[in-house]
Amino acid sequence: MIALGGCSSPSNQIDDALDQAHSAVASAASAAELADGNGLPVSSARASASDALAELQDAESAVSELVPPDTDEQREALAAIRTGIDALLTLQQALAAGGDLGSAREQLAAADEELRS
Amino acid sequence: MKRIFAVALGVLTAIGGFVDIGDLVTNAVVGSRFGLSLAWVVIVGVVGICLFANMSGRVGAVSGRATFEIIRERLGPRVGLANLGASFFINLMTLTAEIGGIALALQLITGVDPALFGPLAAFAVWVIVWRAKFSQLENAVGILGLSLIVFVVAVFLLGPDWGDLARQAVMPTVPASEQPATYWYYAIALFGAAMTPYEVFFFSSGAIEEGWKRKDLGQERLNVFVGFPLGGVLSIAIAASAAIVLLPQAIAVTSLSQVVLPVVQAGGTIAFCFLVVGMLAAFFGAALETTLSSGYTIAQYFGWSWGKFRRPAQAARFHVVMIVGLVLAVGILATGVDPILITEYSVVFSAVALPLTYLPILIVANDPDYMGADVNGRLANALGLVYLVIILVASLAAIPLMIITGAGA
Repeated sequence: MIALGGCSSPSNQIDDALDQAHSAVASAASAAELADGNGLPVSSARASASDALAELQDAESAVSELVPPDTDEQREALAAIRTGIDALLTLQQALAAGGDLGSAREQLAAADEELRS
Repeated sequence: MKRIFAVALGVLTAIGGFVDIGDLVTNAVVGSRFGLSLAWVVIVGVVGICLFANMSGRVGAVSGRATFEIIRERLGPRVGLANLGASFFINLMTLTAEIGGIALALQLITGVDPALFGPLAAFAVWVIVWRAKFSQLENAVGILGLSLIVFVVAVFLLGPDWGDLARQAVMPTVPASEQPATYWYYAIALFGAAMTPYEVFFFSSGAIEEGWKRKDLGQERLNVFVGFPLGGVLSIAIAASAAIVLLPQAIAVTSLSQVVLPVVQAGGTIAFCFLVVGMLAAFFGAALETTLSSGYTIAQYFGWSWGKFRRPAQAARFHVVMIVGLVLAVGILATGVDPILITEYSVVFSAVALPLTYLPILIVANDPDYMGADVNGRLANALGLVYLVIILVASLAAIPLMIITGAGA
């Protein structure tokens, strides 16, 4: 897949990675909302969080490995993706602890906003 | 009364058995990215699989000969062997995807790493293939697979803008965020998902397993022409639920856990329970069918004794092939490859390999030496030729589109 997608420009690859990260954060946010008293079992929300984290890590490595490195666009994209990763880790901890998901949901909403901007 | 029950059971089994992981994932991916603008492909695919399954079931029932026996006889051993290699490869990919799908569905229930469930799922498939009667396994998974009707219920509960959904389906356009090449790549993927070759190997071999004769052709037609289109409705409902909930949030489906979200949003925990039962039954049923199909194809080509109607000791090589297929599937999953990715590739490669099985069946269905008076009629042949062209175009375009689009990225 990476080889097949390797022909697009760095800017396009950053856009694709940000779309992938946004999709992952939005689905984790949706899962968190449904797990917060709206019928989604915690086991399924944990699977959603795990899948979303894998997508974000994939997006992070795609942006990290771009050539040329250290452009402003790349740094901003990495920062937004890492905000998403932090939010996902918070969600995973909250789901494992069986506690309140409010804080994790707020972090996910903030990460979603950052990835969209 | 017994006759009506048998007819109803056959139709219900055909509906419940229509959807497998390829249909589920591909329709959800397409719905989340293209809305219902590819619903027309599901209709084309359903008509195609009705035509294809009806011909192969009729060939099995009338001639008493199985698909790969005929392929070898009509194409010769060398071309037949190439055909067997391609078919076995696609079948193995599909089997791997189904076993992986069972593991992913169990992860949704338990939260446990799916890697642990792969070998258990494969073992369970082997035990059932070894022990259960053909009709028992076909009926049980087909009926439980009907739980996937929860997708249809979810679409109604979500209260969509019906006019907008109808516009997407009736006046299809490529969304601004997608490329035309990607649209056509997913059109081929959906077509491949609806017309997976293993369904035909299973259907035609099943006709012999169950001892169908000419008198059973009416039942066979009902199963195909009522059951499969209703199964197609399930496919469209899967895409519609994703189009209603995921598309507006720009969530592109890449995992099974995302497919669950629209259904839970619509119906809560009860809907979730129906969904996981339906998914497990659909994936388990398809895993049984692909396992049997791997045994059918190889045993029929080499002329070995085959079939569930024989004791395992009387069809030892047939059973060994199935065990090897399951071990290979578990081995592939053990490498850590994503079952969803395998699913996405398997439906496209199904479209690539489709002419290899479609063409011999079309030829034999017109051969009076095999079929006597039950050769294809004019309508079946006209449709058969139209579909031959569609299948050839899809087969030739699939790989170039895969390269151009980065596998639909």
